[in-house]
Amino acid sequence: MQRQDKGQIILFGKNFDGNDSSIKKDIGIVPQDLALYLDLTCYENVTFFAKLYGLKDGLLKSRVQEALEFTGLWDRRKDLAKKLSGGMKRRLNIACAIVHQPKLIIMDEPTVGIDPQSRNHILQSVKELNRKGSSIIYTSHYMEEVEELCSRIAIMDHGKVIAQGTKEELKTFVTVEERIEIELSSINYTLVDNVKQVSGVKECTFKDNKLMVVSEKNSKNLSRIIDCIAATDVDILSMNIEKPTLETVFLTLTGRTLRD
Amino acid sequence: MKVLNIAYYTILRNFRDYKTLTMMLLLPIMLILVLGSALGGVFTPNNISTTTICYLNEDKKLMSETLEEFLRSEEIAELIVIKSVQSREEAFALIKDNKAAALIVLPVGFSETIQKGEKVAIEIYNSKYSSFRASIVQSIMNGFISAANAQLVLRQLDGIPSAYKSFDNLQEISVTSEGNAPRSIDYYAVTMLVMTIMYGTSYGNFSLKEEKLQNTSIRLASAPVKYLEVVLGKLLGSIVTIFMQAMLIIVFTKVAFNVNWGGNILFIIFVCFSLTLLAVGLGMMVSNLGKNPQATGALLNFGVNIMTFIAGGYFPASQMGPAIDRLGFISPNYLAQQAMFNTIYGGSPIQTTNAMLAIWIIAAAAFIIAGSIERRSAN
Repeated sequence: MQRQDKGQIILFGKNFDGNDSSIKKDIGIVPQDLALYLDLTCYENVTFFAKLYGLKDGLLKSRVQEALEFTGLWDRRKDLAKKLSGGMKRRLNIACAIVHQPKLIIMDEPTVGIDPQSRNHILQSVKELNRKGSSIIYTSHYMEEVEELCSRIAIMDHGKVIAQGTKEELKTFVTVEERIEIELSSINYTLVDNVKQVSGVKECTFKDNKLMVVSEKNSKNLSRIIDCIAATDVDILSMNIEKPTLETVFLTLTGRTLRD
Repeated sequence: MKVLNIAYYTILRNFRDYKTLTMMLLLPIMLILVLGSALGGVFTPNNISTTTICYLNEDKKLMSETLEEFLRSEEIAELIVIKSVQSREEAFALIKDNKAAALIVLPVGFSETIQKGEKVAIEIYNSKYSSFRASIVQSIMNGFISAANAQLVLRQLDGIPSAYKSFDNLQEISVTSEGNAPRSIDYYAVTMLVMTIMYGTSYGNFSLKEEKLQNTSIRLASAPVKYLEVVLGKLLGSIVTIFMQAMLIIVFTKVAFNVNWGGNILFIIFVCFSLTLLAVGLGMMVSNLGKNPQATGALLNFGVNIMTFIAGGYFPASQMGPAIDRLGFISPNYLAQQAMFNTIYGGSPIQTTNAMLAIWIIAAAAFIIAGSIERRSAN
């Protein structure tokens, strides 16, 4: 835990100086590097950290069981942490952080270097924790995870927030035009000319039976383009609206230069 | 409660570290057995050969004749051989060459002074490297002086001159060293126990640093637990671990090797506890002075071996020459060994007290230094 260089940290409406136990008890941390005692069992690891948060007796037992069941490790509770696979260790890392049911969970790249099943389990768990009422700060370089999980996103580069907002808001930062690809039963020049007349359409080309339409950003002309096609005797076989991904946003904002 | 929780899991993890546990328990037990068997002869009392002492008679009067008669008597001749010398220099040369253990000088006017009832001293010069033989000479001379004083008193009372006379009125009792001096296995049980506790410095060294190495320090820092509680928990865990290991060695050596731990086992346990504090404090101090726990760990292990060696842990220091014998004083092992041997074999209580005081002072100093560095780095 680093002290802030400047400014204030406000958590749960209180100024947090890094030492306030009443605030700390509502925070759970999932560090990127595993923070486990490899020579303790899964049960002992979770119990140890749970006791640091003041859990005891029956509540301690039920919370430990709950955390291990939640992360799918209850059946492995008697195994030493060092005997677990990489994915299981990651899940145990999460179990230790959520056993006290924190209001805020900080997860630093919790899915690095694990198998797809464990990754999927972790992503579902994050959603479930959020659904149960915990706020989650999720750090990741996997943009598809961020896109799937996060309601509000901040992109950091060189230690500074360079953009933040919802994923839709972030995408508007980089989108200058919208592309639609429509597969038709047949194409004729009349249809192409008609589409070009639709408001906002900048460009309309075709190749084989595929019509490619480029529109201005936020032109909201999709229904009118479809009406044009419907007015001719041509059937729409498929349609693909190309939208910018967070990956595109990230690379556009941070550049493609390799990082250390 | 949080301190106890941290301490409990520290102990649990320490006892699951089989590699370290082997070093801390099996190694000393093996060494006790091997060294105790191999070096048994060093501790077995042998027949004492006669001791040559120089005798310079500058008095040449009545009392000097009496002393000479005493020294050359049949009983004394079994222990010492008298070599008359003409000067102190001649005697010192013999002592320096290890050909004599001591010089007895009867100064000029010795007899006259005694006859006047005044105090006079017999001069005895010892070789500092033959302390045992010198002590034989001192004992014999004490015997003579007691007899001489008794005769003087009698003569002053009765006016009857009396010469030294031997009476066969003493009962011969065979003396055995059993129970009074350590067998080799008794000796090594103590020194290896002390060495094991000193190896506990590694627990002090790693106790806090390992949290950083395995990233659990992040969790501890984010949990609602004070840093002092973490430090105290880790310390308590380390202390209890080492102390339990020491107790296991004591019990095992008593049961398996019938080691003599003396009649005051509580004090032996107290010495173990005190040395455990010292070891953990020393480990923490060195750990905080260095940055790399592996490097400081290696340094501590090397240091413990040196301390054990100079304290006579592997071979009695008194038999390795005066230089090593003198160096032993700087080793904490020496202090603990001295306290234990004195307790088991009825040695000087003052020496024991001094040794214990020194252990506590070193332990306190180590904790203060370790704590101040820790606090500075935490800020």
